[in-house]
Amino acid sequence: MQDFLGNGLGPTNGLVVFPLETYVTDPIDLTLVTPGIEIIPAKPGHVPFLVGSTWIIEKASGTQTSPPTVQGGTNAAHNNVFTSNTSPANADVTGATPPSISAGVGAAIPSPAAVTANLPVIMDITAGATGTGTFAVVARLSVTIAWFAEG
Amino acid sequence: MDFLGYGAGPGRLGPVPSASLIAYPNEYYQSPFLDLTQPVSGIELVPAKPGYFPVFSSTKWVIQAVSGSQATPANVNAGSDGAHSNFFASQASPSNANVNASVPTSIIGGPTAAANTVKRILNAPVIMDITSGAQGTGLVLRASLLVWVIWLTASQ
Repeated sequence: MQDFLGNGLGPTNGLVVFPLETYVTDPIDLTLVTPGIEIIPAKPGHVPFLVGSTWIIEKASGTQTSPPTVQGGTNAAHNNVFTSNTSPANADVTGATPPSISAGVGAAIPSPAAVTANLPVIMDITAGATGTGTFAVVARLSVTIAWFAEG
Repeated sequence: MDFLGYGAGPGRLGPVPSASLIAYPNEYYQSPFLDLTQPVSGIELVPAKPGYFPVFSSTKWVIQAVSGSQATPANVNAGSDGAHSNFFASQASPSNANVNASVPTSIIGGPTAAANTVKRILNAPVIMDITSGAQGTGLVLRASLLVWVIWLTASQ
């Protein structure tokens, strides 16, 4: 559809109040099981949609043989934003020259995912990374999200 | 969580790490239009932001003018390190197929990201070099590089 000037009418849907945003955690010891890490704050009336994620490797030594297992969500199980998955990859930790990066938590969302507005996203490290040698890995998690409104 | 049931928001909330909002949003930068048939060093592609480093998200070439036929792509690299290679390593781009099929103004795939494991540098601009120009038959090729970055921080 065009207006009388020949231009399109532009967006017909409402502008989302909040722009694309990136959040980053403090450094986390990924060798430890740690529940209850708030990675995205709540925004009234809106639900976050995970667009991308990156680990920032702050410290790495030894050889990682098994990545940590992480999950995150706004629900009680903490799994409706990204389901349980393993990251950062062994190759990115063992070969890291910090600060360096690695692909972050998977964007796999349970389908259909039940989402709820007005709640923060909480991440759990349900299993710590393991490795050999003087193994250590400390990293920050960044997440980039789009906000959408819940009806 | 606070008494309203919301998260306490950006900041350090206590015994476990919590997220902070990155001060800078996702951004696009576009280089000037470049003659890709000529080697050029020291093109500032992404400016420095104090306390942050840019992570490569995507790149595209914006082809402004093309004529003739490209037989060999330009070779490019970019980074904030001394070798200018920790943003994208040395590679041939844009491809012959994409250049020769372009109908300007057109947008085609740009260089691909450096390896995850390379060292990042805070507070430094990303500098691009065209180390060898594109070659071809009667080739004229002008393009700018569009880059999408996400700003992240790290301990120094």
